[in-house]
Amino acid sequence: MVIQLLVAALLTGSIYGLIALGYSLIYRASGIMNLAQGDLMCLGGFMGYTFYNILGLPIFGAMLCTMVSMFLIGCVLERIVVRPIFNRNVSSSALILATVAVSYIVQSLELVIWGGAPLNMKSFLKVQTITFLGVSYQTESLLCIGVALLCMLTLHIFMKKSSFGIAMRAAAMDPIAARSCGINVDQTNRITWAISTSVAGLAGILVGPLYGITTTLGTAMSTKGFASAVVGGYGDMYGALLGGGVLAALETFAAGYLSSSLKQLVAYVAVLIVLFIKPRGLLNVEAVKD
Amino acid sequence: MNKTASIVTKDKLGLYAPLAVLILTVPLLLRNFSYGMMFLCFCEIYIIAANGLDVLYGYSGQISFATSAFFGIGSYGSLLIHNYTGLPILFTMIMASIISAAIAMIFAYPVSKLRFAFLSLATISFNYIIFQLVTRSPGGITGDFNGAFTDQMSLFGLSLKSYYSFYYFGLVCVILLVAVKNLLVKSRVGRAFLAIKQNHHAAEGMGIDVRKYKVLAFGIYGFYAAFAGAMYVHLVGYISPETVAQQQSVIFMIMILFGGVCSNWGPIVGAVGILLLQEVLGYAEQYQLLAYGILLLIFILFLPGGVVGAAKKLLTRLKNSKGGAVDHANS
Repeated sequence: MVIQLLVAALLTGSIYGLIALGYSLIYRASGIMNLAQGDLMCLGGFMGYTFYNILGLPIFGAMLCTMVSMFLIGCVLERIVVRPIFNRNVSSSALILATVAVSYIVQSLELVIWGGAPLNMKSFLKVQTITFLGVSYQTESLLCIGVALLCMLTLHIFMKKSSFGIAMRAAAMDPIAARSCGINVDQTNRITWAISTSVAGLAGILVGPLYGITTTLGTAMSTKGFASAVVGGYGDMYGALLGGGVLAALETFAAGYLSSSLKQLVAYVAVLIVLFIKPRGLLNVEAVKD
Repeated sequence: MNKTASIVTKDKLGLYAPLAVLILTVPLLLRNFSYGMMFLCFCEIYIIAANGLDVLYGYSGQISFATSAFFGIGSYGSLLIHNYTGLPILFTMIMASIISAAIAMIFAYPVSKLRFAFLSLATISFNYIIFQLVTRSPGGITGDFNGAFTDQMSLFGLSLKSYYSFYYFGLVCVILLVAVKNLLVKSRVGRAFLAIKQNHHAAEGMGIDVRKYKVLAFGIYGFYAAFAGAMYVHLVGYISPETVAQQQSVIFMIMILFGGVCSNWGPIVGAVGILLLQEVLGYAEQYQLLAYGILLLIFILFLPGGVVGAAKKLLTRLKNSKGGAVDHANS
């Protein structure tokens, strides 16, 4: 049972981690908490459904198409919503509400285009379960964990090794200094938003066959992703992954050993405790500024 | 100087007197339209909650996505106390509101050091926790997902079941609570709230106990939201857990942003305006969401003072342009 719970925790954790990653990237780049992240994830799920179920693309093709279109949506979002708000210098709490507004608009678009009924994505693989050392695993879950890990690894290499990734990190650390070194900060910000959006979209297509895709999933996922980012240490890429894992493990083990109705309660109480005792998160990142 | 002052009051009297007459006689106009009366009763309830949120967000600058949680504490609190002890309803309403204020203050004590997004996450989590407790209560005392029933409003043995009588009861509550809020925000407490909102380091430097006032703001907010919730449960006689859902809390934020923060009329205009919008768009959820989203963006980007702020600006601009014209003619 422990191994099965662990796989389940890893699965949920990798999804939470992907969303939390988006939160952290955006926070580092522009100091915004994007509460629409979960709804962007759902949008990715709906797009994945369109590419995979309706247009019949192979699964990796569908993932790629989803990520590319979400990338473009991220660019557009930054250009028409985020930049104008920034240029107006509104207060931080108004910024949070602006992202809530974006999440409403995304939700209503989803309802208009795909309707309110939950959509079930076809499963990605023909083989449903494999048995290894006497324990059977869902292949879907393993694929999800694998893709999520691969995505994180790629992102890590991109941020550490490529010159554009280094420029992005520099712009996030100190925009003025970065600009004086000749980095196009507006551009790096836009790409950061686009990457966060497309990572959220990937998470969306991954949860498709597991949870089914509904618009209401977005709000819950936004909160869970945000909570993961905070638990791990806000603004830190690895903290986001760690936080996602910790939160998912807490939920899964609470559901497994206590009662599945306590799952949510345990998760949110844990978030409050972390906020009260260690607001900088487990990795103690210096991300909380006044 | 004296002259202008008297003109202003006459102006205001000219505006307020017909309004007061209208508010008092509306039930007569809507004699055969009980749906309209119900709508007005709901307006009163949401006006009270929005005023509480205005104290917290507008004056002390703390964001909260947990209004419906405190609203729910008020509803379920008054319902449970009344159902189990049979105490008179007005008494249980006040008791539930005081309990809610206490919970809000206990919650605010550790939370008061968090800012902006972290505060919003804390309040979101709190709202989810309350929702979980309500839907999975020990022994099912809250009726879990089915909701719970209770008696409708009565006062000193006098039944206020009809929307017409409840309307006047609600009106008294609204006037009392708005007057208290008005006194409060104009006192040193209100000035301390504003100082903290503008710059909490500077406020601390001036000797304001920032944490104390932040906790106090949460307490007032908890009281108002819970009182509104208690009114709600005794108007309808029933409460479902959906009322406590987190999405509802966002609606309260939209209300005060729509009406405008830091004013007497803002929360009133906001609550009535958003409720009207809900009536108009009631049957199409997707357009309701779209309308909320676009309204929020418009008010954040272009009208940060809300409807009331925009109206005030327009009035002063009109006055100034008139004054300017007169000056020009004189010179």
